[in-house]
Amino acid sequence: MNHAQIKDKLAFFYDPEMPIAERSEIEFHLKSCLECQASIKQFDSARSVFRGAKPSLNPEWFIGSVMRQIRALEAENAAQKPSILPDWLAPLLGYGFALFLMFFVITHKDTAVSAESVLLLDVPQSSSWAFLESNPGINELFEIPQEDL
Amino acid sequence: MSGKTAAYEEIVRRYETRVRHYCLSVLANQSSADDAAQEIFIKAYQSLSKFKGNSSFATWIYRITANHCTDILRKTSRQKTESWEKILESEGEKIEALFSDSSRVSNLEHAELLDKLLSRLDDKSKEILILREMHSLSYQELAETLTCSVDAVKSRLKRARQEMKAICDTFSAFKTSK
Repeated sequence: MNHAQIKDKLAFFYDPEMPIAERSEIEFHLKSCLECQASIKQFDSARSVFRGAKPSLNPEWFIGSVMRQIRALEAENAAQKPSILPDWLAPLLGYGFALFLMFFVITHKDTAVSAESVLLLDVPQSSSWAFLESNPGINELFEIPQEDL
Repeated sequence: MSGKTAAYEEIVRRYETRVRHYCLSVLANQSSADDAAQEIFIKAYQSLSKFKGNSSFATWIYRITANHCTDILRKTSRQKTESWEKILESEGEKIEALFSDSSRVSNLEHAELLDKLLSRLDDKSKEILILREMHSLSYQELAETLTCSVDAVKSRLKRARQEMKAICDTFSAFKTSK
């Protein structure tokens, strides 16, 4: 590694995760490089700030407070009337109903009132044709020649 | 007391120092930190069924802690940071002791000074430095806690350490100029 590469790795010098070979190379470089020596000293000073930063906290008070809240939660949950039906039943019924609706729509694609029935109903009563003797026959009406019959 | 509650009390006992310590370092206020830590333990209790054991319990609770503190910081208006010059003028000697031999500073003073120094960093740098330097999480644990890759952890850690080193440099420059 050259100076720039080593300088880039100085931030990790104190980490136990750094490979031994890499550390040895950096240590060797540090013996002769004043700039990296100064840099590593600053990194060490910055790290030292965190050492021993352990404020005294009262554990019993804290644990007691958390557990009181948890017990209250548990009591609240226990007080709620337990449902007879299992939790998965409501969504299952919902999905079942949705599937039923889909199935129903697919199998009953035809409209409830067909177009033919509307047309039949729409024919005015006065126009209905009656084959009476006084009326011309169907052949005469459509002028179909006798030999075609 | 049910078996589950009794077992959870043991968990709280085991992790309370770490969680409270983290909250205190991030939120910089004892009472807010304790409130946050209590909320974290209650949240963890309610989500216990979601813990599948894919990571260690410590990593899982650190993840909840880090996310909860980030949410709090996001919601609360940012505390106005004291100017660097003002801090150095009033606390110069103590900061010098902190950088050279932290045992010379009392616990309470140490926590206060650290808050002031950390307030100079951005939240992400602060978060990773606390987890690494105070709580000694490994790269892998950091990656699991912060839900990112080990490479991202290294890059964040490097930037955070450089920011902290820059603070140290500024302090050295200030000391020399006096």
